[in-house]
Parts: sequence; structure tokens; C-alpha cells
Amino acid sequence: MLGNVADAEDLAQEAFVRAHRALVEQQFDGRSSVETWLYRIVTNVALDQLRARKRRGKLVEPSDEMAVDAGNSAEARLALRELDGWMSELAPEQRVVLVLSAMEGFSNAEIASMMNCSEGSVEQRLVRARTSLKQKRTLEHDQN
Amino acid sequence: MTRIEESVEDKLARLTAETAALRPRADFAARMMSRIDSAQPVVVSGDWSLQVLRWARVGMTMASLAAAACVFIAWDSSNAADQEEAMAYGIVEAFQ
Repeated sequence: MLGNVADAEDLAQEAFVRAHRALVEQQFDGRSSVETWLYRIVTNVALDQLRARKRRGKLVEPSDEMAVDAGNSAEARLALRELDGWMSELAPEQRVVLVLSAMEGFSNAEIASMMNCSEGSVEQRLVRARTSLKQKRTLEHDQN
Repeated sequence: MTRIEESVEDKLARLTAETAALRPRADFAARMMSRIDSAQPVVVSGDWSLQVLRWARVGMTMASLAAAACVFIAWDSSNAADQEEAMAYGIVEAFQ
């Protein structure tokens, strides 16, 4: 969702801290599955970070990322950078929904539960995300 | 198909496959545990009201359990007494 390994690790840590705190305070009522509940926390943290990134206009410096991430293959890291650049102009909610649907394979109902919205909102965001990416692809094709 | 020509769905599928091998960095687990261990407790020092409520909740739970145990013991004792009395009557009747 965030387009680089370092931010993804920060997100995972923050999500686990929140989950740990919620379990200690008995805030998980068991109405949803544990997986859905954890993904809901992850999604909320990711949206917070994407919105903050948009406000700051922050871009990940490729040299910083490549220097600290020697454990992953260059091809995988390049693909991640390509993905991040490709989705960079999507609204945070559209980006998160597209990743959960097209890359993680969740159903619209599951995504709606994670994002605490209606299935209609999920479908709408998916349509808008795909439309934006198609328009971007067409524009790049014309420029080339 | 060149990358320029690939559709949105094809590109999503390709990038999904290519990024599937990504893993956290080597010391991720250690950093995660350190982060959880250092997470501050929710109750702010000096905020005694929440502590009182928590102890009250624990106390009420213990009291409920104790009351239930007393009721069970009382029922069981009463039941045993009834059985002894019934047995006593049975002996008396046998001798009558």
C-alpha cells in the first residue's frame, strides 16, 4: 500500500502495537474474524500515512531505499517502485481498495468491513481507481 | 506485449507477481518486539479513576463467583441433608 519496504515495516509495527493495545484493553469483541480485524487496523494506519504523505508531498528517495534494503532482489524492489509511481496519483482510499482487491484478493464485502464503509463505496473507489490508471496509461502512451 | 501496451489488469497482475517475493528486512522481528515492549501503557500515571474501576470490576467478578459457590454449597448441603433424612425415615419405616 505504501510503495516501499521501510514504510511497510513501520506500518506493520504500528499496526501490531495498536492490535496489542486493543487486545490488552479487551477492545476486540470477536464480531469479525481476527484477520479482518487486523487488516482493518493496517488499513487505517496506511490511510493515515498516505494522507500525511500527500499533505507533505513526500517522495521516497530511491537511493535511500536501495541502500538499506539489501535482502530483497533488485527486480522486486524495482517492481515495487514502479507500482508506487504508478499509483502515486490515486486518492489514498482508491489506492488501498485497489491493493486489497487486485493484489490481495479480498472480496468487496471483506474490504467494506476492513474500511468500515459500504460495498457500494468499495465498488465506486475501484472503478475510479481503474479509470484513473487507464487515463494515465493512455496519456503516457500518447507521450511516447 | 510491451509494457506500454499492457492493460491495467495485466500490469496489476505482473506487479503483484513481481512484488510477491518482497520480505521485511533482516532485523524486523527484533525491531518489532522492541517497539511493542517500549509502547507506553494507556493509563496515565496519576489517573487513579480507571485503576479503581478496573479493580472494582475484578472485585465484582470475584464476589459473583464466591456467591455462586456459596449457593452451590448450600444446595449441595441441603440436598445431602434431605437424603440423610430420607434414609432415616426409610430405616424407621423398615422397623415399624
